[in-house]
Amino acid sequence: MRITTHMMMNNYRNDVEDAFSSMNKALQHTIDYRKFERPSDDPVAASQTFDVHWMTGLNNDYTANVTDQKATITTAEKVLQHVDKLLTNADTTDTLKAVNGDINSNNREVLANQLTDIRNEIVSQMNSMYSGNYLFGGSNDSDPPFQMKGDQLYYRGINVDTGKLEDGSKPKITLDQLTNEKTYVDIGLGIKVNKDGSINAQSAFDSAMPGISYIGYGVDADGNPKNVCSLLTKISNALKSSSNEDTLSTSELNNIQSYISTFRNSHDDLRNGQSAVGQKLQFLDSTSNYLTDVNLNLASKDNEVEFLSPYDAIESFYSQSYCYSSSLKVGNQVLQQSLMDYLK
Amino acid sequence: MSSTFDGLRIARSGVQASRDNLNITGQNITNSETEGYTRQRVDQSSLSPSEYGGFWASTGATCGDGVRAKGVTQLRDTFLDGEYRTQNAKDGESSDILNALYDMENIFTSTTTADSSSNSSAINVLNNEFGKLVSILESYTNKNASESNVREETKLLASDLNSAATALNTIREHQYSNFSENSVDNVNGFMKNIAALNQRIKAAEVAGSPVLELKDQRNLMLDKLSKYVGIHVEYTRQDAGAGQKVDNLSVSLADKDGNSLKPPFTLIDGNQFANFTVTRDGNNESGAASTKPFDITHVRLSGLSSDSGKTFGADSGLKNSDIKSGSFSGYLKLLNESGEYDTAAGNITTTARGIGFYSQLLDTISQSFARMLNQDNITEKGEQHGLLGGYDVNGDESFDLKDITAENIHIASTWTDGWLVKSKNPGTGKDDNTNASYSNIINIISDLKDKPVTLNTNLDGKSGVTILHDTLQKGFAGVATMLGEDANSMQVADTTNSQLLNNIHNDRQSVSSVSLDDEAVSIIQFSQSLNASSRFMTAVDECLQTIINNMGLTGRG
Repeated sequence: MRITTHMMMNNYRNDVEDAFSSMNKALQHTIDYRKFERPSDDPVAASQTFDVHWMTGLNNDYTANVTDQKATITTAEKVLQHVDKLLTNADTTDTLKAVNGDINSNNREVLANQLTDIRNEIVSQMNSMYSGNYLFGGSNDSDPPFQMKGDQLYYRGINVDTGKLEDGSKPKITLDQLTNEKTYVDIGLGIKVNKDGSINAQSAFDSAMPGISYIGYGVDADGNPKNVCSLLTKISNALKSSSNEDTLSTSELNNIQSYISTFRNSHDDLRNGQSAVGQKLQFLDSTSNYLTDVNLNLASKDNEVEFLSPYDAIESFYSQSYCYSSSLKVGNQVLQQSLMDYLK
Repeated sequence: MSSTFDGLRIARSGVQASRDNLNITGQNITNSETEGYTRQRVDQSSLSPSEYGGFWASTGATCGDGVRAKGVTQLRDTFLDGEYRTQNAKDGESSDILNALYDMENIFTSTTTADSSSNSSAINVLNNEFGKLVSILESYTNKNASESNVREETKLLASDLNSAATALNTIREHQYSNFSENSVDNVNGFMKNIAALNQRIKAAEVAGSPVLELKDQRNLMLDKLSKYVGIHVEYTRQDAGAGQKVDNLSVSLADKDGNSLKPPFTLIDGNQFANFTVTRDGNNESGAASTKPFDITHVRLSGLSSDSGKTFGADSGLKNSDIKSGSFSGYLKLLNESGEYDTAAGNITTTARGIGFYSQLLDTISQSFARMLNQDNITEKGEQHGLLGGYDVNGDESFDLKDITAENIHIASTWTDGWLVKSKNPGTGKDDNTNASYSNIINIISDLKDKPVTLNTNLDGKSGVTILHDTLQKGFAGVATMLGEDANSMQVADTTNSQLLNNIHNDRQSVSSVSLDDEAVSIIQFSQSLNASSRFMTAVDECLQTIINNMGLTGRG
């Protein structure tokens, strides 16, 4: 094939431009170590990168949710420990254990007041807040869940013993339903919504802690209220209302002992509730560890799909710039010569 | 026996021919870098004896009459010219489409600037904003964000869709104006100039002059024309009177392989030329109203006219589908075609994914997004609180999906605090709130993340062509990746086209361009030939001197 000067110049120019532009691209890679500047450079890497970014975002959301929930539930745990202590205080040799036939009316008065004080403190503890929200209100965190009206305790407007509203009517939700109330938070378990619109319990974290599941509600087989505050009220009233000056009558004593026995059962129920809260915390801890691992994996995946190894980028740049310099040197020699240079 | 002054005549012809050759060599050398220049050669032949075969012709050792330079010819391969122009049209088409795809890509992706702790990151704008919306909803369920935060983030996402749609429209306007003003004007200019050149060349050829420089100019213009439309060039011998024949150039529209279309659409014929016009309106090519959400661009070609050009013949009947190659074809694909959106259900897509595909895809995504949020935001009484809406033909807010486009999607004007339905749990009594339950929001989050949607070319989600059946997030992220894939494959095609074009260009140059080495040898060759002829003339002159002045002078001392 006949090669003319013009062809050589043209091809040389095109080739030098190509070498320069490859070198420039390799230089760009050494600055930002990116595999692609825009998706058309490497559509597969781009698509994977965007997936990783999306999943990283979600993971960060879950981590934030878990951290917040841990703080809330840790606070709740502490409150319940305090309530546990109060119930224990109520059942010491100075108080409930001291109730027997010989207790005189002065002591009964003092004891009754002590019990009332403990009851009030329990109610106030169960109305604790964290970060501006009530801890034990179930799905209502903006109003105090427990209220004393006279000596009746109400939870969310419902009398904890009778299960009715203050005006005697039936509530829209029963106390039983309220203990099963759920407030779900997404921590990355893969939310599933059932056909009826409710959320599948395994697929999200239930942060609800309805107060009545810890301090009891309703009545037992003997007709005694199960709520510890109601029991303390009953015991206190029974102590104050006894007619005898020095002792309690047998029937009065039996009555009070019956309340005390139910009280001890309800205290056990509280402890069960506490361990359930402890389990929630453990679950959050292990989820938190898992999410940290996932975060690390995603970061390393992002590195893999979006970025080049520095070694590859630098090595590529050096070889491209070597190509470019040698094409410049060679060009100098090739382009000058022609027969014209040798004619006299 | 030859005549006395024959030798001188032969010598003179030799000197003249050598001088002509040297001049042409000089012409080649000085024009070696001129764009479009074809190297020239002198056509020379030896002359027979003048009285050859006549009654008084001499016989025996007769001699020819020297050399005659008949004319100058160009060394050019018209077949390669045709190949070049066909490939140039393909290259023009792919590079125009590629540039538009790059422009579109810039709308959907950007790169953050690197800070000292981390490398810069590629951001898929829609994917990013969608992720932020899910984040804010998660924070909302954890009481770390308010409803107005959620509203603002939704507004941002809607306005990202608005900006993307507007930017695509801007690109459409830009492409249309490039097409209907710059490109068409260039093409019409070329056709007019080529026709004018045709006239001059023909006149000069009739007069006997070869006008090779004008032919080079004409070929250059034909090359430039071929980038815009595929052309087929034909030379026909025409009778110019008095037994002379000259070439007539005609140019007609070609298909992808460089063959003229049947029936042919003539662009140039001798000194006559046609005129392209580009318009757009709301009708498709057959004249019926178009159902597309954008105007259709039409290319039309007039009949031929001579050089005044003020009135052109009747419409040649050209339709858009007759433009098969060149950047005109690229523009028509970008402006009129929408890929899957032009395809009936169950059929294979035969049109290209032009700007219309991406703008309609954004509309489909906007509608899916609005449908999902609006359907999920229903109160316990069953009332829908629409969150995202569009505008109807009267300019009123509408939640009807057919009124929602990427350009007009916006958050509902009724969205104030409390419009977003958090949960459908009733309280225990009239004074009980259920503020801590976000079951409806969790539902929305779950749908945004995981619910499969069908992005279909038809609003009902099934009777068109399905573009994507996946989560809504994949839809939002998918626009940039689809564009990336389309641009990437067009890049490969364009690079291939450029390489092929360059190869053909080299082949052409191999035949027609000037090699300085070649011309240097020619200089030596012809100057030696000139020396030799001059020497011969001197020798003949000496002979004649001897014959005339010194013959028959014996004894005169």
